[in-house]
Amino acid sequence: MEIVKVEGLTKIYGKGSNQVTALNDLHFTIEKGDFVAIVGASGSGKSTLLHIIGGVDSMTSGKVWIDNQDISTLKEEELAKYRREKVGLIYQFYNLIPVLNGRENITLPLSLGGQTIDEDFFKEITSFLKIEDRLDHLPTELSGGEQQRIAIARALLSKPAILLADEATGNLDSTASLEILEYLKRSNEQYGQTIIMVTHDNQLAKYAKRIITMKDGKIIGDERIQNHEIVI
Amino acid sequence: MKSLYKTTLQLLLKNKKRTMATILGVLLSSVLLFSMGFIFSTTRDNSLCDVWKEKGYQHAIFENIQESDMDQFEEKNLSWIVKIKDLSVTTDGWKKVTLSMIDQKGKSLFRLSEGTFPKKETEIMISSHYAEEKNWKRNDQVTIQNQSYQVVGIYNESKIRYYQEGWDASQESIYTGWDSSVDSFDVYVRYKKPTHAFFYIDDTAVGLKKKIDVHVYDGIRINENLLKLEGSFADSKKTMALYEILFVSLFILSFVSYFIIYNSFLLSFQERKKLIGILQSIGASKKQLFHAVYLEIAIIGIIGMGLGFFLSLGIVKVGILFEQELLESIGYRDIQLSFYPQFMFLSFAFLLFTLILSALSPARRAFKARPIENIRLNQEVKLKKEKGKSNKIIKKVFGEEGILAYKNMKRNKKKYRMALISLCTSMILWIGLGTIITQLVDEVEKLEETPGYNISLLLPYEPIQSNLVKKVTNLEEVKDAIVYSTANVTLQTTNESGYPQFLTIKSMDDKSYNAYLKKLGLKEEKAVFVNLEAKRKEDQIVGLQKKFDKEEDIHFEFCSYTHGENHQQKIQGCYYEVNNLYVTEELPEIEESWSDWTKVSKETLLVSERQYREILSAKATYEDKAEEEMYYNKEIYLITDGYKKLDNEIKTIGKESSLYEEVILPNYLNINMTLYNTHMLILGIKFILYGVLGLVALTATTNIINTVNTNRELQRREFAILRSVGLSIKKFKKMTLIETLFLGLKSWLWGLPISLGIVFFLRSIFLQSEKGTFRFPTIYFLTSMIAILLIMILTTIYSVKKIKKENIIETIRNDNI
Repeated sequence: MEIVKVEGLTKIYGKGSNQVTALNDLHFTIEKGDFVAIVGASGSGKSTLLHIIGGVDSMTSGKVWIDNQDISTLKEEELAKYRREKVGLIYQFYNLIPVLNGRENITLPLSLGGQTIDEDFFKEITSFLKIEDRLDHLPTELSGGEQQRIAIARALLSKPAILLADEATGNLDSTASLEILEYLKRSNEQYGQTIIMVTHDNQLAKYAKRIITMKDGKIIGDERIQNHEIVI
Repeated sequence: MKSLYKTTLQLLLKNKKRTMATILGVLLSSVLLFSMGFIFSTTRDNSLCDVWKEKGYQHAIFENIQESDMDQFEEKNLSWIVKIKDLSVTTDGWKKVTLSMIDQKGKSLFRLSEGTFPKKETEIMISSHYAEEKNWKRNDQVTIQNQSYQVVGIYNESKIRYYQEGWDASQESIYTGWDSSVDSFDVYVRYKKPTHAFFYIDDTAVGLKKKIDVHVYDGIRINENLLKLEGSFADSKKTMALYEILFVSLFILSFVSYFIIYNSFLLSFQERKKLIGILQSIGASKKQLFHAVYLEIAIIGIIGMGLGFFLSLGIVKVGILFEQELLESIGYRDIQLSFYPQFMFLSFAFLLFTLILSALSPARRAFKARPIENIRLNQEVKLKKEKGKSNKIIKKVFGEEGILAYKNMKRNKKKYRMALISLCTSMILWIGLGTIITQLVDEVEKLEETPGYNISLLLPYEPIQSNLVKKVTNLEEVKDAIVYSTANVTLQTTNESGYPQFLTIKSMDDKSYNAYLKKLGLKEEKAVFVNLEAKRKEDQIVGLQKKFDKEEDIHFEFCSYTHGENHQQKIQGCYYEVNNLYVTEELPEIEESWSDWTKVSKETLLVSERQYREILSAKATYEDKAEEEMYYNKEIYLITDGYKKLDNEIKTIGKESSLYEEVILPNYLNINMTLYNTHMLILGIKFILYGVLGLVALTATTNIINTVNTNRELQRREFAILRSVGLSIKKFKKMTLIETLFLGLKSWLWGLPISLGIVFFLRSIFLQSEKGTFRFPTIYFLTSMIAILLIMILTTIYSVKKIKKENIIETIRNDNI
């Protein structure tokens, strides 16, 4: 079952002679429960693609369906709801709210939507990510790995259709990076969570089930990993 | 939402410096706007107090109303209505005493200290001070206008007409009970809503057939000053009422306040851009983000406006105390600090509107951006191809740093436009207000102009003249004296209406007369025709409604007239002729500095003491009267270094005369004593004017500092990038200073012509009035030009020092959300 469907997606920055084509007429689909890594050199358009799917950036033309919903037609308020409920975004620099503690950061999207928190699921996730005892701490009191785990928990709590990770390990040391990838992989396996991960590291990409390679805003490679049990 | 609100609160607490700066912006604006509210409330209430005491609380008095007309006052939304019939007006010493009949409805308009309200025609109610003055007590039987009355009540407050406290009250009102058989009476009314008063007055006037034209009534006395102060205008075009002045002042000040608050919030949102992006990316909607802003506005508003309110209260209170201190010595009554809800609400409304507008506009801009743009702290930059020519000139003059500064300005056009408007606003406000205050100060200072003498004394009767003049002019304290004798004579000529022409003749004491002749270059005694118009008509001398050629030998013949039939005046015969006159517009030296009203009249004949006596003697002989009967005045002008001592000496001499109270004292004027009062009053007015100017200067300066600071803060990341690629602090400083200079000069380019336009507009207003003068506010133009550059440069140097200490990579990352 397709959870992501992209048709003729184009993104152009600037105007006239200054214009830069970041994404050039992309076409692809992603199946529900898949773990996709998007790789490519800097400036290939991988992050732009992720941001458009995440509803945090606009597209110039084309169509993007997420869970059978065309996000290119969504209005401002609908787009905010989409970001709140359908996707979970993890960034390289964690992007936690510095004045809120771990628990508050995790529950923020749900409280913004006025939804009640499923305490059992909350406990399950925090225990799964091993952050139960870090919940009362402010982001500045946490290590990079812990902050990123809080960010993952925040992304997972609303049970999004897709989890988007933008260079999620880019700011972490190798041990913490592997830990984060392990959690992502397990969440894919344990909860059937669809994951799209952007990375420039081909080795880390091998954690995914499918690797899409991009260059100059175009997809130049799309391969499925047969056995993705990789130990680095 | 709870978390979002918590985030907002936590951010306000965490970023203490920024929060304080924003509160300070709101506080300053609040002080400015609330002070206006307090000043206008105080002015209004103190003026109201004067109007109430002078004219009463009623909005209108309908005269000669009959009982059958009373239905015209029904359904007119009246606060109160009372019938009064004036029975007699008499004088008691210097007081005007009115005896009136009042109906029972008037009971609530008096505060009785004793007794009851009069019910019968034989009962009266009097004011407490009149009772004290006349030694009348309750239940006393008194006689007024041959009628006997019983004092039943004593009041110490009245809401209708002339109520003055104290022994010097010039009017007194005594009220008797109502007699229902009276034919006609006056109806005093006060409406519940003063703003609707004119509508009801008009409606009633039509019903009573008292309306003549639009806002013109016959037999209706409208308490216009009271209505104006209470916010009602018959014709708003006619007067710039307090409401309108306050509205305009608040509008102008709100404009400046907008930039102060806007800059504070702009920085606040800029610093939180990344946070906004994160919140957007996890699903916070625009509506939710705006709710958080409303919470922020509420918190900052409550603190800033609350503190601003009390601070402005303190400032105005101190101002009033100082003002009272100045005015106390001249016996001015107490000024009470007032809180008029409507004015204060107007100030509050302006402030709230400004606060919301200035906070929401940067918020709207921040929320408009895509979440990822906010997270990355990206700004979409629209660039146009630049012309190479200007670049070359700038490079030659300012070097590479100049090019960077120029490009910065070109690239951030929108931001610089806001800064430019903000700077120009400060400039225009300063120059505009400075122009108005210069004019007002000039006007009040005119009151203080000294006439060139210290003491004047006018003596209208011969019996006291000769003795007093000698004694007074010989006093030790007198440094110099000039004595004029003045009389009016009738000329042979008649005016256009056929009536005889009068001429004022004056003589001076010998010493002064000789000095005057010397000034004119005359070697021998000569009658001088002082004609102030002479200079204005070059080829002709215009005087006494007659034109004389300069060459013509002007002569005057003084004659006596008799009344003929039908009040026609006929020349009886002439008794004196003055030939070979000297015509001049030159005044005696002492008079040159006199204000117009004390100078000799436009056409005066100045003669020697000898000739003056000769003329009056001839007149007396011709008319067969004693010389003393010829009406003439003596005017003494004294110059002294010790006006207080001389004042005492003259009064001591004066008291020897039986006419001291009646004649001497009323015609005695000690300029310095009077000027002291005027001086204190002027000082009081100046204090208010310069106080407002000082407040505006503070606001304008804060606005400039805030604007420059905001610009620098918004560019912190760009500067860090420039520094990371090798721009030295010295070069960086040069670049920012050049940028400041460009911005400052650009603000001159826009601010000066606009200010000039405003100044010329104000000039046309000031010159409209009679004798209107205008002083170009050069000093305000210069100070604004210098101050704007100086403040900008100093602020820039300070910001560069701050930036110097910052960690380059941390600033680039800008993680401190």
